[in-house]
Amino acid sequence: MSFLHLTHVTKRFGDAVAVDDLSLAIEKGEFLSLLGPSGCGKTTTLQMIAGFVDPSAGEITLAGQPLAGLPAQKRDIGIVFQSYALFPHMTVRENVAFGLRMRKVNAHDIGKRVDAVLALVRLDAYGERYPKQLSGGQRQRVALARAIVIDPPLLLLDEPLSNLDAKLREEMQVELRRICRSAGVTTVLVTHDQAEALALSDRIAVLRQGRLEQLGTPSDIYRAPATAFVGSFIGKMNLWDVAPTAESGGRMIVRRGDIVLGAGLVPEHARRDGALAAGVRPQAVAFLPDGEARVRGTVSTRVYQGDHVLYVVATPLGDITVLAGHGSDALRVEEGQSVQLGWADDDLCLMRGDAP
Amino acid sequence: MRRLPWKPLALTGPALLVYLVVLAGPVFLMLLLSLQGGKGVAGVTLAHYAEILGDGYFWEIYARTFVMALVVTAVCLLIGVPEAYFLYRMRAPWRGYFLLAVLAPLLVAVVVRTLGWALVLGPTGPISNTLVALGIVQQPVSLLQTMSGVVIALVHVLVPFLVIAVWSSLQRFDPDTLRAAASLGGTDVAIFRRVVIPQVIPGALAGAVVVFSLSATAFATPAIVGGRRLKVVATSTYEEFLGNMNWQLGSALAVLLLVVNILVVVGASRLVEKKFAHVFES
Repeated sequence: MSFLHLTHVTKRFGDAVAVDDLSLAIEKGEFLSLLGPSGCGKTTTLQMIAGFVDPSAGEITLAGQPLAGLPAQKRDIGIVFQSYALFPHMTVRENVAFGLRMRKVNAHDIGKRVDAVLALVRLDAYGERYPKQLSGGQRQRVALARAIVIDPPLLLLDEPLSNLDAKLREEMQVELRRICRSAGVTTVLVTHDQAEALALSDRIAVLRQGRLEQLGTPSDIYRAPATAFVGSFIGKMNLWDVAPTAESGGRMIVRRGDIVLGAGLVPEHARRDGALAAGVRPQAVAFLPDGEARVRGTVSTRVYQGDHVLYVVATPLGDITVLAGHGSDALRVEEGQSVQLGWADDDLCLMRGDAP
Repeated sequence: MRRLPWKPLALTGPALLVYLVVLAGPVFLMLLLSLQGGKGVAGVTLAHYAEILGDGYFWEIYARTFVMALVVTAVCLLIGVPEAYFLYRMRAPWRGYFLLAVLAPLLVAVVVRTLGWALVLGPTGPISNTLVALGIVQQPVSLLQTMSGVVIALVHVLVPFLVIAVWSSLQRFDPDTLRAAASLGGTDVAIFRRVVIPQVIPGALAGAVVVFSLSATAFATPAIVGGRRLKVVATSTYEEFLGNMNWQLGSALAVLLLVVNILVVVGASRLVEKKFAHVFES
């Protein structure tokens, strides 16, 4: 029995369906991300778990107990908001102590627990400051401390890092992972940032238009995307619609016109009826000597990105993006040069189609 | 040698001139008038102030004025703060309609509105009739010439000022703080008391200062609803000027009211700035 269960949860706003028949099971102590572009229903899902929005259909249970009809006040769920939602008129200590006060914990215990959690988020020295006197990253940690001090069975994070600049965001990813692990709390993170989801999660649920596209570990989702949407949303991917052909030995040779894309492994989720897509990651594409190549083309753009170089190559298959790493000969390819591209059969992903 | 800042002076000059002529001028003249010798006194004198401060009659009028202003302010706070919060929680289009309804008293001329209240509060008005019909009282009752009547009529017209002030401080209120407080186990009452009220206090105090000074200087409502029995400083000043023709004493009464009002306004603003600076500085 999983810890948090969403069973056929649907939410309609008028005619619009925000969340469409979503079922998820989250284990105790797990860190799960709801990942998707804006409007995919991830925030609505979070709000239904939190109790701010009621599902139109379906059931949510936490530790076996149905949450329907239980107001947000009684759910004991810790939430970190995108805006942090700190109380501006209270000091850091008062902010963190709020949940304990509401629970009528005695003053001595409040002091001890607030001290402990402020130490955990490394803000011991800032207890008497007001939120306006803190930096973005510090506010973020206060919000986290305020949510976990009540020892919630479940922690919800709503785009917690999106208001921070890029450098701070990476630091906070490390912090957040450390804090959540040491608090041992079951966590659901909502984000549109695939890097954040990949870095933090035990498992990721990719949502699109209110539906679950794929649920899996970060490496599963990155290496074996179930759909063309997941492939292009998480990392970059060169994608083609392909027609299914006969399978042999678990592999399927797919082609576009005369060009053979390769013999890709057919994963279970791609075996259903319907459109099929094939894709290859830019870093798996290599410049090859003539004869071995799958396709020829002309380099149209070269973008130097420090630790690697990004090429866009115009080919009969359309534009193909190539990412050449440090130290490879490929760094010397120039714009306008004719090249031959290839990739290994194992790097060709077959996915469910309707490529975007 | 420092040069005069001609540009700012030239730009603000016209407004400054109007301000001096229209506002500061008359007040200064009134101050001069209050220091002038009048009946039987010559030259510059503080005699009128001495007369006011030495007469229990005037003490009573000042006390009544400020008690009335304080009660009106308190009632406005009790009504206005929750009202503004409810408006804030409302959805369009209802929010617009109700905001208009709150502001409606300001759209009616003061005399019309006050005479309306005189009808409502009088012995033949709906309040009296209802109480008689329900058998709660035997004789028709009148709230005219009572403090309660004046307070009711003043609250009616002054509440909008408080609602607007609180409303504006709610505009920078983060609604997620309400959700955060709820998720931390706060009851609705606790959330309103510990999260909403502290955040709107600066707005509420700013509105309260406006309500206080407007009710302390109100003239038409105390004159019509309160009548001659319930004199306040503004109506006494009017009487000294036009009834007793004692302009000097009337001026002194008005100047004293102005001084006390300024002290209250400045004191309250200082308090707000000091206590809440950390909350809203950015």
